[in-house]
Amino acid sequence: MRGFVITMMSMSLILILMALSMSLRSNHDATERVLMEPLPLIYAAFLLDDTAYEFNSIIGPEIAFNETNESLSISVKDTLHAYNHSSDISAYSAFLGSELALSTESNITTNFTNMTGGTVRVFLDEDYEYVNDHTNSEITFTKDGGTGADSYDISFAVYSLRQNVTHMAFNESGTLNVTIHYTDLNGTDTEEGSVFPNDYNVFEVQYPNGTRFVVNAGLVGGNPASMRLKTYGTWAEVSWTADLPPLNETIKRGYEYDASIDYSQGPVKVSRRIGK
Amino acid sequence: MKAFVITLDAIMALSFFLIVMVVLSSQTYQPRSPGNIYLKQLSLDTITVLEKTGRIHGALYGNETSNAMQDVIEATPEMACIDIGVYNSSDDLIVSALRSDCTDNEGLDLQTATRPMVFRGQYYIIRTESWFKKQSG
Repeated sequence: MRGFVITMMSMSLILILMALSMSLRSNHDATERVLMEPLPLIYAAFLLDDTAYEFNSIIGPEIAFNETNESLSISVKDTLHAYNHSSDISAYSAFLGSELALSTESNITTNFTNMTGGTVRVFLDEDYEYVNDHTNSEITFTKDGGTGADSYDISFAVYSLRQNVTHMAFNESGTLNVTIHYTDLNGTDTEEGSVFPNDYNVFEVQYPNGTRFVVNAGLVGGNPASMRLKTYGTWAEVSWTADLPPLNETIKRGYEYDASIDYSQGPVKVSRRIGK
Repeated sequence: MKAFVITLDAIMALSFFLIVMVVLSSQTYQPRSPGNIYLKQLSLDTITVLEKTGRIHGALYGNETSNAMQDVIEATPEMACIDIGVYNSSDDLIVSALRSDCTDNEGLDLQTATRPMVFRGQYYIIRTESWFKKQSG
């Protein structure tokens, strides 16, 4: 009887040890799963972010965001000229779908349909829309229902001799501050003032042979507090900064082109717009 | 009779002990993922540093050749080895760099990482292999 009790106690102890060991192993497995499972998606995100970075280096523009609790500003540097990026975009698309896909043992397909007509459309902070229409040498920054911008600081440079300037009709009671720095072979001049965001406000510099540069700040495409830059018969370097209302915390920050990429590698499938 | 019972008891105890040992040994935890994650992350970060600081551009078109990349690779943790290669769109190796004392990776687990790069209108693919350095002695 005594032997039986000792045997039972020993077996119980060993079984407890086994249970503990299996529990520890199971815990390790769970930890490993937590660490490992999201990794393919994270690595895919790395690759897609890099793709966006490279795509941006090909077709531009340079974009910078500056956000605080109280304000948001978006700065963009770009060129206004009649250049169609279609061949660059097609070549990059082919590179992604062939060489890169082969190197990463993945399937990559892109949809650049909306970008091959000479128009570069970028969604900034989800709702703002920036379009550089290279066919018409026209840049617009707008948002459905209005941007709510407090101010625009616009700079442009044209390699030509200035002939005439049509100044913007400022109004002290306006709520949209506009500053325009224009540089050409005559030098650099600045004008600034306020306008009403629901008005169609125009600033224009004329150059020889009918070439000109036009700035609209206010109502553009039916959307208040928007901006449009357009050249006629010339090209220009442009940069601008818009001071905008603070963003709702649910808004996705960053920029996205009107182009998408589908990436799949094994069970990982990611489909999204190209952007960061 | 008593001897038979004792023998039977001993055989049962031994069998039980053996079964327990087999089960316990199968539960031995082999930590492998953290090391792989570390290497992958290190490779991706190294590529990012090389690319964003213009080291790869310098290696491709500058006067610095692969020394531009070697400095960064030598500054990575000593326990890890990184072999980095930049390939053109025809898959030809254009420039490469390998951490010193890292030629032997036979029989070791390798981590690979790949990134695209565009420079001066040309497309390149950056590939890395990384592994933990063999312990000497």
